[in-house]
Amino acid sequence: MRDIADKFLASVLSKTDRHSSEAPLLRTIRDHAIRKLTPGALPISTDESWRYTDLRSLYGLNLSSVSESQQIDEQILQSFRLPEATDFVVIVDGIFSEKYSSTLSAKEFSVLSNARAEPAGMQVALSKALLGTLEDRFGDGFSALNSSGARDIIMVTVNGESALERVIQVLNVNTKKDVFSCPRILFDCGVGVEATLIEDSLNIGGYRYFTNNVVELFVRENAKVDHIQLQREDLDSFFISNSFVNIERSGTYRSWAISCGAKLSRHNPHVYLGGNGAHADLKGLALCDKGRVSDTHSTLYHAEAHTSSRQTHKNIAADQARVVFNGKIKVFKDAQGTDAAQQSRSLLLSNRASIDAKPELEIFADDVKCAHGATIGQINDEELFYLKARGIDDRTARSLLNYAFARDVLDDLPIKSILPSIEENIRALTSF
Amino acid sequence: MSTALDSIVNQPYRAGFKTDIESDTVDKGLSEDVVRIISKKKNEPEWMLDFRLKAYRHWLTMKEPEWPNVKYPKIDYQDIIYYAAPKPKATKKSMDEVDPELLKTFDKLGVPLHERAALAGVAVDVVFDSVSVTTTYKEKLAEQGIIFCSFSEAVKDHPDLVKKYLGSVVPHTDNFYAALNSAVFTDGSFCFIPKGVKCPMDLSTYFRINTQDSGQFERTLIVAEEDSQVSYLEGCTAPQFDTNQLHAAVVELVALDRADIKYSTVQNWYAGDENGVGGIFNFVTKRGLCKGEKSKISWTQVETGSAVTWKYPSCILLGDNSIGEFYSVALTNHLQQADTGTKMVHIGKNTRSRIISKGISAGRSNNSYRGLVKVSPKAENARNYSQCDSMLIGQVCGAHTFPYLEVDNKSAIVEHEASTSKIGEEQLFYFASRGIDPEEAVSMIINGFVRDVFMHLPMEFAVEATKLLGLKLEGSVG
Repeated sequence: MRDIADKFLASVLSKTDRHSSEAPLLRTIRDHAIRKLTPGALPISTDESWRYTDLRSLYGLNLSSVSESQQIDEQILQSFRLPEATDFVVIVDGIFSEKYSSTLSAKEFSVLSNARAEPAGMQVALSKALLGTLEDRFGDGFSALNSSGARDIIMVTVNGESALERVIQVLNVNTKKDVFSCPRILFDCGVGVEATLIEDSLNIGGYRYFTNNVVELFVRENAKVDHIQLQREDLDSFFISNSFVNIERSGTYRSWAISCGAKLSRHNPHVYLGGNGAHADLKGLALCDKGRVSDTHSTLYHAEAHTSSRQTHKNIAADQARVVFNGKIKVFKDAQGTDAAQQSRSLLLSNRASIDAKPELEIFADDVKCAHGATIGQINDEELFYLKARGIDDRTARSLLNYAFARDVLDDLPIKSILPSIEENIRALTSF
Repeated sequence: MSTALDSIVNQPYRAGFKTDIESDTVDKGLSEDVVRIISKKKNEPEWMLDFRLKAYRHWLTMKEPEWPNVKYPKIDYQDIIYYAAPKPKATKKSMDEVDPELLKTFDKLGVPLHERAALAGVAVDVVFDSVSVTTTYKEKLAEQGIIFCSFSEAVKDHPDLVKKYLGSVVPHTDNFYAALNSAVFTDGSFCFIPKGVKCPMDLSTYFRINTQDSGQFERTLIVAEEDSQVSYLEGCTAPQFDTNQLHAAVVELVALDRADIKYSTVQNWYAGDENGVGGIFNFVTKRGLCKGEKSKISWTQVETGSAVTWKYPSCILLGDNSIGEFYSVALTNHLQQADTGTKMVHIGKNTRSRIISKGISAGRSNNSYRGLVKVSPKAENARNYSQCDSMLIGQVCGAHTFPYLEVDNKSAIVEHEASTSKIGEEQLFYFASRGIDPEEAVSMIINGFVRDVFMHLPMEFAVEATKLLGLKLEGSVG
């Protein structure tokens, strides 16, 4: 398997679209990533963190990259815009689309691009200092591949100058067959500022493609960020996503990662609690049916004292689906007073489906409170009977129970307008 | 407060002394010739030599596992003595014939053999550096058809049984250390409980590692036939040495229909000094096969010794309605490292398993729980409950949990819980305000923490284990 992974890597690297006029910073980041991408850089099943997810179907693809932005029906695009969003950023096949985006001001927004000269200004200078720092420290082969191949890097700085609380929606659309795209976002939420970032990945057209997403997110002192990642890719596609989050003193980070689509999806949130009193609240929901694979590998780093985290992850696997959850909590030596609790619950709806769960604790401090719980089970017959006894048919009853199971994750979702789409996905799981 | 804790933990190793008995050793190093010499010295039949050679040839193709969460200097497998036996003497019928030096060793350990055997009614098959010296209560057991003897005797006297079951649970291809053990194992215990027999007493083996630089490769095989029942105890102490010693044992258990095997271990090998010098490398493969319906295998372990421990007593639940249990207390102190846990593989219908693991880390040690619960597609109505709790004593130790849950059947119910805590100031204050000093309070808290496991130990073992924990932790809390 090693050789096909290396062949895939070489092929993707050779097809990466590079320009002689690329911005100097982009060049630096790309060259650094390429140096890391030697043969063996991409994982295979013998690597511990990929033992449950077979990448052969991805490595077998012959992919190409897109250099020109596509024309899309604007009406369709606008239909995906959430009513809560104050700002709307559109990325089409990995390329930032100015035309369709309602961009923020230059004080808050810039794009580092292949085709354009490097932008200038205060915001750019601040973002440049941060760009790639988290990816370089916590990333893997795929995030390095993103660094080497991201065509446009979206850099957002929310500094609290605007009175409006920002809700920034990044719509990541794929439109072409056998394409690989590397959407890349840098999100910097200033001291004391509250903001929401929504990443919505989907496709128009129903093709097979590979999205390799990376987001680097900085939560400054006393800042509060809500981060929603909605993955509703085409059922034939491949989706790998790495989120790197750094939380400073008394910062709060809440995230909802909802995985509904893709033939193979993998999400790696890395959350670094790097300041006293930092708090992270991670919620995840994986809905998986047919022969699909949905894999989440989260890592929480409690690096400083008195940091706290809560994590709830729910999986529903139907048909021949495979759902993987690996949740690691690391408590560093000096992180006394850490309070971490993790819960993972999985629902198996079919005998041909499988669930692999691995909650991990690595603790090097003694004054800590850490707990994790993991359960794997099925729909309770008594609960089903209770509903049926009240005249609810089998299918509706099952659907209700599935929905109730997922409810914990969705209850406090700040953006309510995406709920119907998720509910529809939950309902679809019962029709087997 | 920390001085009291320190003095609890830093108690010197009580069993650290060395007995000078003439040993018959083979030169250092491992080759096909050494395997042949071992086999020849033990007067083994041809099939046994074939088994060893097959294992040795396979071992050459294998790589040392690197995935455990432990660090230790690379082992030079050519720098180990693979065979050491006390000089052969005529077979002994009574205790009087036993080397007085040897008896003194047991006296120092506080285990007078005859007394222990008489008082506790325990048959002790003493493995002193690889070769069985004496076996007590053999005749009494033989009346019921129970075979309890050293492995070499079993090869000689019961070749059919050994041939049938050896390697049936842990094949020589299983892992690096199991392959090594299969090639060079010197001795161990063999136990066979025939149909319908309930073993009238707990069977026990005391292992001692004696000759410096001699790797200890034990092989234990326990077979419980239909409707039989047995409780087996294994306890270990070793003298203090500076060079690391390798211990790679293999234990195989086979339970047929409705058979019940209970295997208890107290392990207190030399753990190295407070700077991590010396100590035993304990790389053990233990596995039980619940082959028949309604069979049950229960592992209980108290791991307090060894510099590095790599051990996962497992249950393969093949028979319908079979039960696997794992109760473990692992204590690490100073620079000790332990990566231990269990595997529960559910294959049969209505199989149940239960895992209770308690890890205590003190000093600069690292303690990991690593466990696998696997429910295969045909294992209808499998049920598992796991609980692994860790306690940290001191600010520079580590506690880690790596549970793997793999479920391929929707009727399964698998639950896993883990928590980490420390002995809090508040708890100590609570005790202090009731007139209990910190040292006693700590010992009470720890005994409460491990109670769920200790209650599954046979009585005498539970007493010994409680004392052992107290000794091991003397001075580390406070």
